[in-house]
Amino acid sequence: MSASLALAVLQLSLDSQIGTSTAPYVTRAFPEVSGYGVVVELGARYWPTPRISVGGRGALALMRIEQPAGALYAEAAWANPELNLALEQPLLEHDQWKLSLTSGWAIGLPFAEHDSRASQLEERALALANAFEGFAEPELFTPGVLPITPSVRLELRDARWRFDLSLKLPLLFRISDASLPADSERHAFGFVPVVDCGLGVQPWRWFSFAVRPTLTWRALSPVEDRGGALQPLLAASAVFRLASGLDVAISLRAPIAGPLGGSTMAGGIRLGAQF
Amino acid sequence: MLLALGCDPRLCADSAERAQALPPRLSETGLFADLAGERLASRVFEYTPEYALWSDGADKRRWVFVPEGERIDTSDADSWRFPVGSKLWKEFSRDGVRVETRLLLKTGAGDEAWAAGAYLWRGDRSDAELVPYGVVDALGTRHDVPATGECFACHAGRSSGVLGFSAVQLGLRSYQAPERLSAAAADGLLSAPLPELDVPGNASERAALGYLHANCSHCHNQSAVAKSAEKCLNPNQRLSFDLDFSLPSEEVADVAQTATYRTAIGKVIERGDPGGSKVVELMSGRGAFAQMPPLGTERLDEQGLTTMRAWIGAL
Repeated sequence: MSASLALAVLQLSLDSQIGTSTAPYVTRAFPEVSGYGVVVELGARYWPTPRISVGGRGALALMRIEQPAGALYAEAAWANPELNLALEQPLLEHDQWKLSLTSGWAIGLPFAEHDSRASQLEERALALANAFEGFAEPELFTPGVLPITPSVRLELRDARWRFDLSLKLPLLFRISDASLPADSERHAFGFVPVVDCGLGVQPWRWFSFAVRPTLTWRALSPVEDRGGALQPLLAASAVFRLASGLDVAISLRAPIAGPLGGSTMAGGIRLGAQF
Repeated sequence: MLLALGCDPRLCADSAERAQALPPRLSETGLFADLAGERLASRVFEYTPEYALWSDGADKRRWVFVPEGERIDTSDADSWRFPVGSKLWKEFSRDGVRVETRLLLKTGAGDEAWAAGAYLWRGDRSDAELVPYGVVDALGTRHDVPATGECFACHAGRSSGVLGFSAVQLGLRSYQAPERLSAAAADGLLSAPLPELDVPGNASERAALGYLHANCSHCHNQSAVAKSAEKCLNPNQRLSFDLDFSLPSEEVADVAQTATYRTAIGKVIERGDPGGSKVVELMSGRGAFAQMPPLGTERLDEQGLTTMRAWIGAL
């Protein structure tokens, strides 16, 4: 939400989310996964021109995963790193109001870790990480796929208010079985559209607040589980500007209804720097 | 959540490597000479402990094997020592479905030299496969097959590594469980005849003390070896529910000298007040941080609760 964002050339972010979840899982031995932990995501974005930006992000899931009798095993798993390109197109300007359309393309590198067919620990750690996001980041947290993610965002903003509507269309092309057991229902292709809208206000230069409802539609999951297709999520965040080009955000997110409703919650801190 | 990150007692090591010494199929473990006909192999004997661990109502069968020429050292009544090659199996059935058979195998001379794993039965009962990471809701039942690391969460609480095959569980004068280890089997397996022991107290006291011994003392005892790695459900040792027959006989005969009476009453057991006793509170709950035992059970043991309430109410 920082006003300095429009002038930034380089943006770095470090995001850590702590959460707990019980989510459907994809194998007969483990029809659901429960646990808690931390997801750390590092992101960078660079503007070679005012309207074009390139970026990347990578995430690490550090989870404690519940075992059948109730004990926990600790597991760390890297997600798919992602490279992305965004093009912002101004549509309309009136007084301080600006309407813009940003289109983006992202490609994930299929490096998400996966464990043995028996243990599924790394896969389950990534499944929990995706559950913290309301299933809205399959391109990061699905092993064994090549993710290509087109997106579009319509944004209306002035100095104080911001409203945006986004649509993301992750396409997940399976390139390996990711050590999934034979009894899992894998598809050669996954399609998980995500739509969200955000409403934010910046009453003071040093503080802004936003809410963001999101709806994920698992139209075709890369691997089937017993959960439903639709997953709503509600997120809220507060951003504090610490200094010029430096801000910290605190967020909470909770799936509402759907397979994760009532069983999942996450909150975190994001540190952002713009140069 | 932040506190749990630092000190969650449920965190255990992934001990799947300790199942590597086990064969991949139950038919290869030496339990049955003829699996289809359930004819036991040579030197395999069935037994039943006096006080059973609550397993959500599962039906259980147990067997023991000791290699030819070896015997279990029973010189310490509280901690039997098993020779290398000893095996103990425990089969679980739920709702008429044979779900799993667990195996403990002594792999070396040290107390920690045990391999453990669970075998998930095939639907046609032709054999069972080793599942070192367990299975949730196995074979369409509500029964969860534990991961190998979870085996040691409980079994590592005793220096012998074995919970239900002991002097207390097999040597009581008042033994009532069916299929007690036969005298002939005992002669062939043990270094000395089974002792004849008496749990002190009246019937209600014996039932409660035995219940606590079977369901709680594998963690809550004061002789457990401290775990060097994750806490893994290793509790503080201020509480003990152990029936200890290594004590002098005059102490063993006095119910007030049992570990439960000495360490738990007035702390987690309130005389005359079952509802106000922490033990009953935790036995009555199910969920993370809110249940005892902490592993391996999703249903309340109503009979066990009745036993405990009756005993505590009469204290």
